[in-house]
Amino acid sequence: MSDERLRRAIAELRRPVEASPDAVRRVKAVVRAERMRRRRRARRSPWLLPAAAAAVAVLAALVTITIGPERTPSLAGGTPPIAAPAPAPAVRGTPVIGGDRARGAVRAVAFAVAPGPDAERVSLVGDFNGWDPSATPMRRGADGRWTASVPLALGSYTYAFVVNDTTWIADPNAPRAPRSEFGSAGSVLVVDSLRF
Amino acid sequence: MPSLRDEATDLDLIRRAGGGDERAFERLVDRHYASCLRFALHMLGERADAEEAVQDAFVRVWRALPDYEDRERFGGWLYRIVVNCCRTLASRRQRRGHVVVSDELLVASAASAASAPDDGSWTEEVARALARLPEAQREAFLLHHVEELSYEEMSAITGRGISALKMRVSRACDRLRELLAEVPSVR
Repeated sequence: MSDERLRRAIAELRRPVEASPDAVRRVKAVVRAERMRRRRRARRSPWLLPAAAAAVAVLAALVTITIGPERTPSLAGGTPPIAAPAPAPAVRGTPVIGGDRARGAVRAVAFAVAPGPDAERVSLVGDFNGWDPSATPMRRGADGRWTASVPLALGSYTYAFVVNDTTWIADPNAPRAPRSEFGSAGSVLVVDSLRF
Repeated sequence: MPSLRDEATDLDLIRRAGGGDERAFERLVDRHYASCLRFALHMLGERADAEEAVQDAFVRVWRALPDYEDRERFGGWLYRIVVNCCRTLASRRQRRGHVVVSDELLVASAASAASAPDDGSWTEEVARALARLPEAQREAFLLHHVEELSYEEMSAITGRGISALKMRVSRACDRLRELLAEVPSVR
């Protein structure tokens, strides 16, 4: 009897699984974003990369322009498992776009978010890094904010933050993306030369 | 559902995708997504996790396409990446204390199966029995008996010796027999 049940179990497990069309579309969208990211990277001349890195390095010393009002970021939707952020000093909205020395083509953009005390890992994802949570880890500062700087060419980008590998949140201080590629919260950033 | 063994056209698609043909890659996704999802679903037990693992796998495949070598069967290569993504997600899930099937759920399901055994409950019983296998045994069992890979292919995918894999599959079958024998009645 047991072998018969095992045989039936294997037959059951071999039954085709129906794929969600949305999930398949998501995969294709992510790969498209990855391809665009690579193209952008390839378009940058080799001499631009160190220049972009230099732009990041001097970011703190340069005049910055802040997008969005000054307030403490909070979790989009406020859902667990991430606790609501503890009262914190006013946090400047993100991203912060710095002046650059990258021949006018690339801006050093500093992102910051305060997702609360339960955050153990935070990363920045967007169409500029293939929505890859491992591509741009953020660093926690003494004030509880997590920050990361990314060199970006002029253009429009969509991005979000990933907290503890699982929770995607939009930037509360930036315009909300109409619809992110993942159906998750996302924000819009426009890196515009007119801002400088 | 397309089989992972359709090598001839896969190779053509891979070459075109490797050359930057996005449509070719999307056709590969269309052909293999469901098979990958089935394995991931059986490994991880939850559709959202399975979809995440498969999505991650296809992104890795895209990134690694330039490194793909014809001498390796695409299906085996793809499975290797899917298996790794499932392992990564499972370990991440364990770190955050996630358990797919709790003892309480098993007790509850046994009670409901006793009262109303039907095709739905049999499907659930199979899923629950599978979830109770140690991860390594579940992985080996699925690759061999469900995805129908040879032990040589499994060895290449998992990095384990053939003898060890045979042992895992054998133990998985023994354990499944025990667990499924406990199901009160099956139509």
